[in-house]
Amino acid sequence: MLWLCLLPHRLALEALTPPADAPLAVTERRGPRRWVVASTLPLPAGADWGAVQALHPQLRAVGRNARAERAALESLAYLAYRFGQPVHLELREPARPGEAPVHAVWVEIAASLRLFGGLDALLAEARAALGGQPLSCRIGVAPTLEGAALAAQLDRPAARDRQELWDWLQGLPLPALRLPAETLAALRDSGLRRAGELLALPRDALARRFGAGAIGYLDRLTGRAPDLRPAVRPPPRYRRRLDLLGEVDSAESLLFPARRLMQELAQYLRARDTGVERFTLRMRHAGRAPSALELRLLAPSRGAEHLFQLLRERLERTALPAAVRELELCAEHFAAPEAPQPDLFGGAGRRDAEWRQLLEKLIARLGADAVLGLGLAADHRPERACTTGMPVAGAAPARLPPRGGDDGGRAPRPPWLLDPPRRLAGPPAVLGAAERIESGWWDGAPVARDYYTARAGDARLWVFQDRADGQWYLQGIWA
Amino acid sequence: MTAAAGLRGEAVARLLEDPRLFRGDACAAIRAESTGHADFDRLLPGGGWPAGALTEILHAPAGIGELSLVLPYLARVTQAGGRVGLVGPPYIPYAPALAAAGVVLPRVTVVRPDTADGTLWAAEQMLRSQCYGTVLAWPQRTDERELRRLQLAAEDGAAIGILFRDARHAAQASPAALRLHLARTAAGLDVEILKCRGGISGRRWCAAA
Repeated sequence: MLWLCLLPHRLALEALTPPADAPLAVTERRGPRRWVVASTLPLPAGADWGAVQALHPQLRAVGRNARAERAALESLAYLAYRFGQPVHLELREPARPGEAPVHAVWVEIAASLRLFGGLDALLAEARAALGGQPLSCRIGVAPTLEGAALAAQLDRPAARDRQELWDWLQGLPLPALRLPAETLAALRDSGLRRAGELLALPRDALARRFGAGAIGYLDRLTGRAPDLRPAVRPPPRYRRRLDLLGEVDSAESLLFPARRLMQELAQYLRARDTGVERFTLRMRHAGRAPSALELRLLAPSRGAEHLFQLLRERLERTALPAAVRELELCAEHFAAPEAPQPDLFGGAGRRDAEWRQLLEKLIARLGADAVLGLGLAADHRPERACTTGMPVAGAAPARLPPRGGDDGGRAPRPPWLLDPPRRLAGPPAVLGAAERIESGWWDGAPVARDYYTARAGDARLWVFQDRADGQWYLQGIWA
Repeated sequence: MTAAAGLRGEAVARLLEDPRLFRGDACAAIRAESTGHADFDRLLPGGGWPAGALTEILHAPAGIGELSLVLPYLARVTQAGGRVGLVGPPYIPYAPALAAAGVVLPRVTVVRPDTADGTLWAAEQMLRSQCYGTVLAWPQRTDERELRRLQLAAEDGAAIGILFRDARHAAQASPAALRLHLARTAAGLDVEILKCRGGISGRRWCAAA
């Protein structure tokens, strides 16, 4: 086993969106004590808020948002999926006042080293991937989970096997270990300075003195005992809530959190090796019902930039009913995106992709109902003989329209249809003979009509008389 | 001496190819697609709907025969695999009628925006995209600046843009390469060429009813 640990050391701050433009501190509160967990200013860890406030009166404080931290950490775990399996994550709440929460994601990489071409290549890839997302991370590599976390925290070079890790631990100062503070204090009072000295002590004596917890940690750190944890798995449905720092009242200001949501969605999709077909963005407002945007894609996609462009096109056209407090992204419909096929005869596949992107742009701005493809249906009722739906992709070959068995002799139809038909005040000046259509008695929408061509000024109209009540209607125009 | 004459000959030949040069009845080289009406093609420079440009069809009421004028072309271009966009049509384009005229329905996309701005925007996007060789649009509102945008988009996308507008706009200045006025007469559909770049305007053609 070889673990890559990602340690987002500013997660408490970076989980908040949009990023603060003024100095900001994230604080945790327990009883009467309130201390700083993370800050945009370089403050000592665990500084008391009262003291900090006296020194920096312009500093704004917000409470920790553990839910946002967990959601951001899960997104980081999905990102880690591209480097191997299994993936674990940890969010350790502060045990006592003055401590900061610990966030970590681990991924097992021994099995994927060959795929990436060695550890250095994998780490370079990991740094590039981390550069494209909002959390700043330290990374460490070691054969145990706790070892990798220590290596990341102290920014140590990779320990490739247990021997290397053991040698490295020898010279490590004791306070770096993730042991309870009172254990560390007792060890310091006993004159121990280095982890090596602690590891050299008899285990049963240590267990008696400090309890099974401490010895269990040391065993997991050195790899003597297995470290069993539940693995993170991408859920079958994606939901991501994003609390906004303050209220956002313009769609433009929503673009930043929207980009982040799309980035995280793309990480999730990549972890599941699938693409999204449609998703909903719900916006919660203060004191009124939430509003929602639904986006549909013509072909499944998992490109963060592509998804963001679609959402942006839509957001820029949307008038917000009220200031937004929270965004929630839901995606339930997934399908594997088509792999780009190499094309023998000049980029038809590429042109198809361009066409789809154009349609998505149109749909994002005008709505899915505004972009239609045409089709035929076998029904004698004129308003049901045509279908409208999503435009179909694919390079359709030169094909003549289908002709059904009794279609050939059917009377001509006008190119413009009015649906529903418009009622006429009186009988029009009809030309020629009637075409009688009687159909639909079996499905609850029966029609019994006589169709004529009528002349009105320069235009020729397609009208019918309803035989049930004798009324005249306009249903089409010969253009 | 001979070299200079050769150069001059070349320059003259280049000038003669320029569609802006008015040369009586001879049509300069203009890229166009046949309308499917052979008699009508002969009146148009290039022999059909000008490519990479706008065509305006001005007609009074809907239902005068404006679609029958373009249906033969739509049938041919969709059968050859080209895509056609219909933007902002006043009514529902009726699939059985289009299919009966030979139009390949999967190659047709209908876009029905709610607003006049949406129609112009969609038409411009589609003309520019190079995905749609032909875009038919029914703009509710057009001023010269917007027509120019559409004309530029058609040039960029090398597409055939056909706008259907009310006949009262006939007097308005327009950057379109071809402007037609439709009227119904006893003999059939009367098509008057109000303007045609690189050809002769004022000629008429009558389609039998």
